[in-house]
Amino acid sequence: MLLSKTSVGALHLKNTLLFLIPCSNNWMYPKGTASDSSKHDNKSASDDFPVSMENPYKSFPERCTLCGVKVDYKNVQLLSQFVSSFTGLRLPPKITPLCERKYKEVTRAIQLSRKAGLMPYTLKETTFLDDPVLTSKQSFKS
Amino acid sequence: MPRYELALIMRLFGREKKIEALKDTIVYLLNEGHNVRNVKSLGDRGLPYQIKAHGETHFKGSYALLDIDCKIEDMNLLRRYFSNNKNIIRMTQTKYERTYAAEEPCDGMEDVDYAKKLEELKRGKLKNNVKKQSFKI
Repeated sequence: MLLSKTSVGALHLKNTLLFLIPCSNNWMYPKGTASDSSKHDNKSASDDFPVSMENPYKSFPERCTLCGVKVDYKNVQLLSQFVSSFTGLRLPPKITPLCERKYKEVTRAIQLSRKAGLMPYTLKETTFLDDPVLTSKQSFKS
Repeated sequence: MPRYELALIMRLFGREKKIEALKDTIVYLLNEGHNVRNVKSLGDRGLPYQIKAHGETHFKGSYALLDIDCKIEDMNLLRRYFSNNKNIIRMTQTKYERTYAAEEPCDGMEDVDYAKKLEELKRGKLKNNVKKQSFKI
């Protein structure tokens, strides 16, 4: 930097490169303040209002465990999952993870299979005792 | 003519006698004018509970399935034939479409509208439909 021979109050820089970066908004006045220039533009106030749309965070409706599965009276292994292992009776609907439609189909299939001689009345088949449990176990505490 | 499915339980026999017993039933059905589409045998096993038939108690049996096209009026005659046949222990008939038809599409479990239920309870609409069931687990 070479300083010229002038008064002390003024500093002139010679032979220096100053890079001037063009910018739309001045850095002294950032966005959001009262002196923002965008507010003086010719825009209507309704463009900033929220747009009506469906809830994007809405969860899909739940499906029961047998949604899309056909219930058959010959499928004793599936039906015995909804039968208690102590008495052989069918379980109440609050415990089972089934909807109303499927619970009715399962009860009718259980009654049919018992009549046809495929499923026992008073017990659960021993080969199916180790099947996974679908019920909520909290009700068995009482 | 609707389509039926018959689930048969037969006495335990050897392989040759089992074929003769099934043949007699199919020949009788064809002579009466019904249509037999398919025959399946599901094997032998011990029955889930003892069954009494024709003066004997049975503990083991062999299972079979039949697909039939039969008239509604002739179903009673079929039942009489199967009850008099000594080789057959039990027969159950079901409609074929009930088990093998395509399912209706389901959108999922809807949330229960409790406000509506309260109003219906107050007016007494649900009292007739509710049946108290006692469950013994």
